[in-house]
Amino acid sequence: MSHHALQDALVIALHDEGFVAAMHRDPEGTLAPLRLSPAERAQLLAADPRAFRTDPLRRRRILRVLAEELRASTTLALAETRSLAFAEGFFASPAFRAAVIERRPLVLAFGDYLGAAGLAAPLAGEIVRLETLLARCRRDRLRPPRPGITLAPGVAAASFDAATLPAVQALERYVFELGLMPQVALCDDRPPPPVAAPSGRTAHLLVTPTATGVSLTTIDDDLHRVLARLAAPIDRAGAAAALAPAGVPAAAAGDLVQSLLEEGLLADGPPEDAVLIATRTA
Amino acid sequence: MNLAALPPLGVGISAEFDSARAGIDAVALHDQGLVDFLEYGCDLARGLDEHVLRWAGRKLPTTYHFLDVNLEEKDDVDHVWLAEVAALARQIGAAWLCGDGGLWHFGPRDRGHQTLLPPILCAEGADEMAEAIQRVENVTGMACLPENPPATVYLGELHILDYFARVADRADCGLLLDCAHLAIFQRMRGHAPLAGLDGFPLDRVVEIHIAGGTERDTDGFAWIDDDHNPEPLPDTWAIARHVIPRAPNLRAVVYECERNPPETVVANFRAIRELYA
Repeated sequence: MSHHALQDALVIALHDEGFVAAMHRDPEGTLAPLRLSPAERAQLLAADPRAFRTDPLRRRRILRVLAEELRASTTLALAETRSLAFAEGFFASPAFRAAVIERRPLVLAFGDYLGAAGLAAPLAGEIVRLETLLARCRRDRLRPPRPGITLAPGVAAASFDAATLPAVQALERYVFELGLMPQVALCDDRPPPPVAAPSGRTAHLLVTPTATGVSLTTIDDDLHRVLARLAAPIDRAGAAAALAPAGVPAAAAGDLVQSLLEEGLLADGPPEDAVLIATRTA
Repeated sequence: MNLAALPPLGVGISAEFDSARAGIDAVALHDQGLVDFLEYGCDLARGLDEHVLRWAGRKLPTTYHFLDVNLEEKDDVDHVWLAEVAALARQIGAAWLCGDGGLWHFGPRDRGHQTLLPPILCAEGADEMAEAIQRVENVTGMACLPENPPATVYLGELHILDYFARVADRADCGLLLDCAHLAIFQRMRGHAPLAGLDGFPLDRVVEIHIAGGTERDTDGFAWIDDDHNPEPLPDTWAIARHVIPRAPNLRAVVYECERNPPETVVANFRAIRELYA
């Protein structure tokens, strides 16, 4: 068995005291998903359990970075739960363990954790979904294009309740104002976080990559329908058929795809079996 | 890698992004004759700061200490990282690359993680790290010195010195021996400070680190916090005193103390200069 499995177990143990207790109580059941060899399992169990909890701020340092990116979602979640244990509970969640084992970005796992938390706040699900989408696009923009013609790396089109984006912006402003004097959070008369109600209307949002991150714009129904059809790769010959359900006349499909390629919203990635003459740089 | 061809740098100080703002300005210590070079701890997300650019602007020697690559995972050493690191290192005139050999992040590289973890101390892991180091050296054209990291939990059957000896042998690379981190390992494993050094290839040691640590206790579990306070522990001094005269290719000694008031580190800089005269 690869030493990487033991490394994964170490990462989980350092972030989740419950995991350490469970692995001593029930080694078979707790460690089975990690597929450790008997020798690796013995090494892990031989470590002093107290050695895993010498850094009480380890979880908080990571949460700080995650909360910076999912700022509105985290604010909403903590305003509702009023619980640091809820935030730190991420490290005991299946989402965290899966992210460690599958080498998935933690911020996406944190988005999944918040999304599954059953938050009651109006728009909570929409806000988590939007911020997680942005986090995913920030990372996707650096990957090579997929084979075929499809949305370029870092590009996404999605629909949300129209109140979602203003709600995110209001929550970000709230956190900024709180950050001017963090001790305000201790006051009984601190300002409450803004709560937005669903509008009942739909807004189509387009995420596009920039040099340093992503930008977000509102798009109309027509463009959204076209981009939604191109979320899965097509080939040029299949453009007319792919775009027909979006109302694009067959004669215009080729030109439309070409213009979207030129705008950078689409990318034409090489086929899987293409012979590369240089190593990819991303 | 021809270690003898690497330039002698003398006694250096560590720095990280913005560390000089509240800590020590290396240029001032250089002007006092205490510091010869600057080791800049860098991740691509934050890049170079005003401090290191000011130092490099005076054509003073530097080394580039990475904070964002998992040498234990050869796939983490990707072309984008290599190209950007090489460019930054050359921008500041770094004599070589170095950094803790372990995990700086888990999952894909991401901003702000910097959760340094030790490697799993096994032969398979050492061989993978050696591959990663060869890749770094081949692509960047610069020497890459892996450093033994600190921890409270070390897993794997090897002594950390045997692990890095194997890495150096497989990669044919130099080594950065952090004396404070080694003192931590020895304490965690119940060894004497110098245990294992007799079989360690000291001829591969190009750089050593000396730093302060604090003995702490968690529910009765004694451990050492690698907090870089001004005063190295006696075990750290003992290791440094043993290694320095026995490392024929030693080119650099870094006193990691960048976040302390300058007046608290002067005496130790003088002591280290005397030790590495």
